[in-house]
Amino acid sequence: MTSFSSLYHVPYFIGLGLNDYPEFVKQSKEFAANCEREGLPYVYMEHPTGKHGFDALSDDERAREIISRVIDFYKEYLD
Amino acid sequence: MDGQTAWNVIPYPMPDTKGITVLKTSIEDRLVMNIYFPPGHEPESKTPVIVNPQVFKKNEELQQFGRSVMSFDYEVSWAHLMAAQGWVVLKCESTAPSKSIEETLRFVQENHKNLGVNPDKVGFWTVSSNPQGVIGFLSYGPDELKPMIACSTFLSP
Repeated sequence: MTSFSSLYHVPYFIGLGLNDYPEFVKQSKEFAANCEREGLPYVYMEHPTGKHGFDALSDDERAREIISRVIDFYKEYLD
Repeated sequence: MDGQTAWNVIPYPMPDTKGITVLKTSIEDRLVMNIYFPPGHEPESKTPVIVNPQVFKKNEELQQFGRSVMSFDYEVSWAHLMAAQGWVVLKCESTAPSKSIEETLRFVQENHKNLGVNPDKVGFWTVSSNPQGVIGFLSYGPDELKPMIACSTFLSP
């Protein structure tokens, strides 16, 4: 991810596995922190053992929970 | 997204996907779109649309993966899950990825009545390197298009 400055503000959902590439984890956490600081609505969810592409590779309840929350996120902001 | 991930479907109980229809269309071969319509979709409706842009340059992905990213089982399963909820899902890939989001949104604006979508209720869905394209658009894209965007999802960004 890149700089938060000049980014058009919409609600964001950020989902990642903590075993993703360290730089990706760092950037995702920074992005969520920026959302928090700017007062933007956002959802940030971690899969504690997930790798890059956790939603395809981790066949477990936490992955399903995150996928389910993505659907809820769209229901909240699209419907 | 790597090869291992590509062939997996998402580990989620899939709703009935019967009735989902897919329109494959393109603009002069430079922007290819697969549009998933929910079951019973009415062309005169104003259905929210979820846009999934690819940062892979069209055809380069064929060399890297042997098939279009849009056709990965993983990608299709997400599209099915979202379309089954009642949303239109528009997946796109381009010969000029940096411009593909802008061109796709203009396509939505110009064709919303034929597609039965609401051009003011657009969500992005992106994974892996694709969030970079969305962030680039939301930072430096044309200001007149940004109000179309209602929300954005970044997975494994």
